[in-house]
Amino acid sequence: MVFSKIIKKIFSGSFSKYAAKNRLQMVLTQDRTGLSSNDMEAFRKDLLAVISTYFVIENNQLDIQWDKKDNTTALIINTPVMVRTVTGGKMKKAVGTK
Amino acid sequence: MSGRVLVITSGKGGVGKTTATANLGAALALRGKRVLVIDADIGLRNLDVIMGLENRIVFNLVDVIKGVCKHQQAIIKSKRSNNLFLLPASQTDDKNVINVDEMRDLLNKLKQEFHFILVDCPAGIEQGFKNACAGADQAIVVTTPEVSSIRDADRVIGLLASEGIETSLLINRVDRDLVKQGDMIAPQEVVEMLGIDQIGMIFRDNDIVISSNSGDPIVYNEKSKVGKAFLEVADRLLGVAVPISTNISESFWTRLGRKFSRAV
Ligand SMILES: Nc1ncnc2c1ncn2[C@@H]1O[C@H](COP(=O)(O)OP(=O)(O)O)[C@@H](O)[C@H]1O
Ligand SMILES: [Mg+2]
Repeated sequence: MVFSKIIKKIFSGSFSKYAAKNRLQMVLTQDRTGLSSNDMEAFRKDLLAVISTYFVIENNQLDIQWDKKDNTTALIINTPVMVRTVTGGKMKKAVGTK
Repeated sequence: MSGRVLVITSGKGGVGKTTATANLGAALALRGKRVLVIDADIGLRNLDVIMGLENRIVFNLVDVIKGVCKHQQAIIKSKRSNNLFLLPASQTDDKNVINVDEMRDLLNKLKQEFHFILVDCPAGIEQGFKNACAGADQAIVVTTPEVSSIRDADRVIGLLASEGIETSLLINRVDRDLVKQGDMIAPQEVVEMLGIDQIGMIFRDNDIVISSNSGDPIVYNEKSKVGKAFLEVADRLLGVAVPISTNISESFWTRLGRKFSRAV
C-alpha cells in the first residue's frame, strides 16, 4: 500500500474495519440474545453493581462478549479488578476475572 | 445412487449465491460428478442466465412439482458438460405456490439420479428460504465481509442450526487491498465472529462480471484465479483437504499506521 495513503489515514484516524467490527459485534449480540441496546446497558449496570459489591472494578471497565461455537452461546465477561490480598488488606491490581 | 443435497443460501441478496451455485455445480461436474443445480428463486430466476441456458427452458420447477410435466422434461443439460444439469425456476409464479413437503419429496426422488444437487436459495428467510432448505443435507452460507451481510448470515446460520443442517461458510467478494489497508474485515475475522467452519474464500474479481456477461461459469477458464478458487471449494466438498491458504491480514504499514493513529 502506498505510503502517502497510510500517512493520510493516520491523521484521519480512518481504519474503517474497526468501526465495522464494533457495530457488527453490537448487532450480533442484540440479534443473538434478543436484548435491545437499552437492555444491554441495563444489564451492564446491574453487572457492575453486583461485581462492585465484592471487588473494586478499575475505571468501571467491563467487557461483555458473546462467543458462539457450534450450537452454544457463551457469555464472556472480562473485567480488571482490584483484589484484597490476604496479608495486607490493601488493594492490589489483578488481571481479569472470567 | 443417493446424492447429496446442498443449499446455497445467505439471507441477504446480491452476495453471490447464484454465482456460487453455478460455479460449484460446474466445478463438481468437471470433477466427474453428475450434478443438478436447481433455481429455487421462484419469480426471480437467474441461474439459467448465469449458466447461459436461458433459451432452452421449456418447463420449470413449479411445473414439475404441480405435475404439469415429468422432471426429465424440465431438466436441461448444460452446454459445457454432459454431467451438469439445470432445473430452472418459474418466472411467473410466487414463492408460496410450493411447500416444504413438495420440495422434499421431489429432492428425495431426484437424489437417485445425481451425485450432487445444489439448490440456489432466494434472499430472505420466508417461504422461499424454507422451501430451498427443505431436504438439504448440507448448507453453504455465502457472505461478503460487510456488516449487513454478516449479520444476515448469522441469522440464517441460527435457523439452519435449529433445523439440524450442517453448515459451512463461503466468504465472497473479498477485496485484498481493502483488507490490507484496514478497511475491510478480514476473512478469518468473519469466520471467528460467525463461529462456523469455512469452506472457502473468493476474491472480488472482474472475471466474474465478465463471465456472467457471456453466461459461461468462470471455472471453465483455466487461467482465472477466481475460477480456481471455486474449484478448490468443490474439492473440499469432495473431501479433499485443500488448505485455505489465502487468508489475508493488514499490511505491515497499516499496522504501523494504526499505532500512530492511536497516538495522534
Ligand atoms: N467474487 C465476485 N467478484 C466480483 N463480482 C461478484 C463476485 N461474486 C458475485 N459478484 C457479482 O455480484 C452480483 C450478485 O451476485 P449473485 O450471484 O447474483 O448474488 P445472489 O444470488 O446472492 O443475489 C452479480 O452481479 C455478480 O456478478
Ligand atoms: Mg440469486
